[in-house]
Amino acid sequence: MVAAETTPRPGGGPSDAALVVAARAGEAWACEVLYRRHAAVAHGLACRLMGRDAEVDDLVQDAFLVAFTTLDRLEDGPAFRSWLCGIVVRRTCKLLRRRRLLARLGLRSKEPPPSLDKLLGRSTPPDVALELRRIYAALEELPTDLRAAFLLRRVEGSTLEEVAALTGASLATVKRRIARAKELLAGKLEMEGSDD
Amino acid sequence: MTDEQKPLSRFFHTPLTPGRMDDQWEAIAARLPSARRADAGRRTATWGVLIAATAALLLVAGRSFWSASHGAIDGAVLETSATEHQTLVLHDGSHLTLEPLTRMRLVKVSGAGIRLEVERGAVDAQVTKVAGRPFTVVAGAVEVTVVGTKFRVALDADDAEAHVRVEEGRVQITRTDGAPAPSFLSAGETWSTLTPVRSEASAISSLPSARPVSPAASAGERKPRAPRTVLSPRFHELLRAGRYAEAYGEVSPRFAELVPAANAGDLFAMAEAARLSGHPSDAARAFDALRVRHREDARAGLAALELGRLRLNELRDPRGAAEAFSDSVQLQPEGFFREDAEARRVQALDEAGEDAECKEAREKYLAAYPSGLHVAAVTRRCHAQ
Repeated sequence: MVAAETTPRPGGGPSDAALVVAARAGEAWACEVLYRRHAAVAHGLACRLMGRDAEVDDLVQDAFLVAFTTLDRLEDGPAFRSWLCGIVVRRTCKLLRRRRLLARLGLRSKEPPPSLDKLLGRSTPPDVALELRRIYAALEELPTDLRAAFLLRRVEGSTLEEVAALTGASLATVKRRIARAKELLAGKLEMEGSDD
Repeated sequence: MTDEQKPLSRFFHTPLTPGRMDDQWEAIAARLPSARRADAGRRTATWGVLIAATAALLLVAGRSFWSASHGAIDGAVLETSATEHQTLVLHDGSHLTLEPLTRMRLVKVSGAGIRLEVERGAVDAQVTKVAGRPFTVVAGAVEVTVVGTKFRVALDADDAEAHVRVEEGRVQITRTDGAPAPSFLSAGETWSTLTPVRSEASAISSLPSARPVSPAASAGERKPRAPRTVLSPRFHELLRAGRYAEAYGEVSPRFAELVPAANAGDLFAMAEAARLSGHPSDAARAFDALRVRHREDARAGLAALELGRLRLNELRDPRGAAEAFSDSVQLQPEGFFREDAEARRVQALDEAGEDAECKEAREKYLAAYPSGLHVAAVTRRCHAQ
């Protein structure tokens, strides 16, 4: 018998791979499904990398736009989320580098260290909250690449290989950046021993 | 994993509210058409852009890549997912293969004649020759009638184009709308034509204008049909391909006379082509026409915002810019760009030397957006102490 009108797969909906194929074919609804499925992850990552909620909306929008307009470069459809996160990381680094340059040129006032008040959960122990604020304040002084590698490793809990994939750097470079970040932060904070 | 080994992200709480998500998506969708048009040329030639009908009817992931169906009933609808081909064998042995993302209705498969309708996508047909038995495939206003042959019919509904390719035998072509068409196509021949799309399935455009925009429209009120486009298919093709200068070149000789006759979609497209090819005056003209003549169009608020930016940044008309920013807020009070419009209005009033109005706008912005993106810049305006 001929199939009647199809219904979506129960429970999960189309896979990311199927949505990527549809989006590449020009289906705007597929882009929207991908967005709604992964927006929260991208939003959270951007917030934690920035240390602030402000301008995260623009970052996330830009990241999704880049993703949707360069879908042809995504070789593995099911890996859309990790690919998107890589775009978020690189766009955030670009934004932070631009801000620092503008601040150095006197075209932008330097922002105070992030307070993380809007980002931390209510159940965060006070000592952990304090430590996180200190870390983020110290990271404001670090080069962007070191900051990103450190945050991905320490806050996101990414493996070294994942950090390399997200930042587009080699594994050796990632290790070097994280080590250097810890070295610079050690002068400002009391750090625990390295586990890398 | 001990607590010390767990990532610190577990202490963060960064929910994305539904409202904020909707606003973000609106912002993305509004920018998506231009960006995606620039990549249109990369799409595989054999894929058409499909009608984006109700998403619930689409994609059944997990089905086998190939599936064969034997037998058929009148009125049934076949639909394939993005990764699926589907083959149907009719009672006479004719084979129909639906390509991915295809929707086809079996209007009539029983009795003496066979009639199929491609609502979107593409179908390859290998038809058993039966003397005196018409076998018709419909795509838009194009009807392909065969006696026995191998051919392909595709309907590119977004571009309103039908494509026919004959591999074996011969097919007869007719148009139900009276437009010219070759009478026959033989093996090795192909033919493409623009066609109105007959399907009632609504096209979900990535432009916000696809959503109902008139709050005054009652449920039973019949909306007037949108005027036909005044722009050539060539213009749209160039715009989609990101060749903005060439697209603008298609309309620039008659830009001023096209604007009064253009519908909202045309005006937005013309404005984009002009803006992205570096012609701010014409872009402003088209955006202005859109927001003045089509105030209920969902793009009117955005057009007013873009008009304000052009007037402020490129046309040295800060007073005009302030008016446009104000209008964009009025047109779309809940628009995702409201904060941007309010902040830029402060800048425009400052540059226009309207000190009192500037201060009022500044205080209004700071009250509405105490943690807004533009607080620092707005605070410095209007000779703030």
